[in-house]
Amino acid sequence: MALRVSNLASGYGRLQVLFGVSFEAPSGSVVSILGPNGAGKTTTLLTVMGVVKPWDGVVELEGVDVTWLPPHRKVELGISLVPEGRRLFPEMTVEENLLMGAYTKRARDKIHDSLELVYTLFPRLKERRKQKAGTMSGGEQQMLAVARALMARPKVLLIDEPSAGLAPKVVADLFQTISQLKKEMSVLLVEQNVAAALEISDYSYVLENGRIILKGPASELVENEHVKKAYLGV
Amino acid sequence: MDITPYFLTGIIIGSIYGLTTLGLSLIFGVLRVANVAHGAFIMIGAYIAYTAFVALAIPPFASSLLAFAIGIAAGYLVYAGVIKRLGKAELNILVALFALGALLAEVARLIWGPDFVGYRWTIGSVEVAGLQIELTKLIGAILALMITIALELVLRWTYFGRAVRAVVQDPVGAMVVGVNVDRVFAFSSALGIGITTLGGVFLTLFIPVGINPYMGGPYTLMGFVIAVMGGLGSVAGTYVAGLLFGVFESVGFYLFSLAGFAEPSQMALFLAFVMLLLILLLRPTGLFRI
Ligand SMILES: Nc1ncnc2c1ncn2[C@@H]1O[C@H](COP(=O)(O)OP(=O)(O)OP(=O)(O)O)[C@@H](O)[C@H]1O
Ligand SMILES: [Mg+2]
Repeated sequence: MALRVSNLASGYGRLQVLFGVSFEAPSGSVVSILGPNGAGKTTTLLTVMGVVKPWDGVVELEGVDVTWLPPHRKVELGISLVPEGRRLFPEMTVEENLLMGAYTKRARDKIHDSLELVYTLFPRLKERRKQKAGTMSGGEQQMLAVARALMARPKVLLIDEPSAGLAPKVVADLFQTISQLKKEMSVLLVEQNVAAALEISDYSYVLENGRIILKGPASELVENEHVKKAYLGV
Repeated sequence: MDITPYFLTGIIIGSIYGLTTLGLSLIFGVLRVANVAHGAFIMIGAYIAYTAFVALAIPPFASSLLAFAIGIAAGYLVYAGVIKRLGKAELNILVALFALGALLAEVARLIWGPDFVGYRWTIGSVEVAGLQIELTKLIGAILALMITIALELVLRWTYFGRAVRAVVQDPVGAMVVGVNVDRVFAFSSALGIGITTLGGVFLTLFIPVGINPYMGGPYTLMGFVIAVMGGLGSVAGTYVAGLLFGVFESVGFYLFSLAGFAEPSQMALFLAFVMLLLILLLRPTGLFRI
């Protein structure tokens, strides 16, 4: 199992947000975590990454316990995050952002291959390589955020709401690309755009109030009554 | 009326102002901490220069290396002992640094006494545009420029420097690409206070009788004016703002004394603050961005 999370609990200050969240993301698949605003989706990813300190539970990467490692160690070991709000370096060029993505030692050795790879995946970024990240359109910035995370050569790629603020056509293209990525790694996608996410997911979890309340193959969840009513509007 | 000599004098002292402010700007840009103990480290650097020269006959350009090393150690301790320990309690950090600055002044008074001291080191002078400029000052100004350029190059072209800029622009972004943000913080605090202490050594070339345990206060204030003007966190911006401040102070002093003001140096300082307000109104991000 590429990523296994068991009984994860965390929060901010005294406010508990996650109450024992468990899920798995095998390599070669797209797994999604769906849920409403404030459910704790972002908190889940940040806790897996170590940006938010876990309170309890276990995070395993390929069978190795990485629960308590700081984010930079996790990146080195193969977990990358495309954070909510993208978190690009606005005053750096597209290419500088990508080079920053390959900051870890392991990624630095493959930096030229990686650049070629992401430029093939997102030709638009190659055209814009000298442009400052902060001046790009929302869709371009989201591509850059995904590309930057790929530069670290992850085994597990965590993506937080890539569809936020993008036009449907742009979302469709981006999701198309994301679904290709699973050949090389395990993709864990967090989304509010439930319909689009289910379409490219192999397996999904529904998170509400910091707890997983439903899980199953995406093809089954599409048919689930709760999912239909609460998220698909049918 | 010819203001050229005042302009030149301003540029030369301004180069030192730029240098002494780099550390303040770096620490604010990276750690988002206003180092209110800034002036105290300038004071420490000044006393290091004084003691090295008077007691050991070591010239300032040599003792600046010692001051740099001491400043780096102090900056690391400030990070590990104060900033990191107090973590998110920003107000507490501010108070702690303020207390540290006051403490350093008292320690300096115990060691060196309460009086103004200084030294004079002359190695000749050159004439530029009709103005006699002491070589020590000219060399100090040129070295200050070279140190600024070196810092800019490190930040722009090394992996670690790029990581520092990344932390300035988005700390969470830096964290998730694998930057050890804690190390960047420690490094920036150490380097920042190292440069500040080194800058204090250079400053003594310009204040032959101005070294005093309580000299730090005005330099803290001036440092913030220059750093904000330059765009906090920007090396080039800070240096250029230092030059501007020097020129305004020097030319302003001349113009105000011509106009018959009783306290021309106070007026020059006033002018500098007016300039700060104008820049904040017209370009709130400062002159440059990192
Ligand atoms: N930095 C923070 N400090 C305090 N509380 C926070 C912080 N970040 C999030 N929270 C709270 O934690 C809860 C979960 O937030 P989280 O961002 O994980 O939700 P989410 O599922 O990602 O929502 P969205 O779909 O809106 O992005 C919310 O109640 C939120 O207010
Ligand atoms: Mg979220």
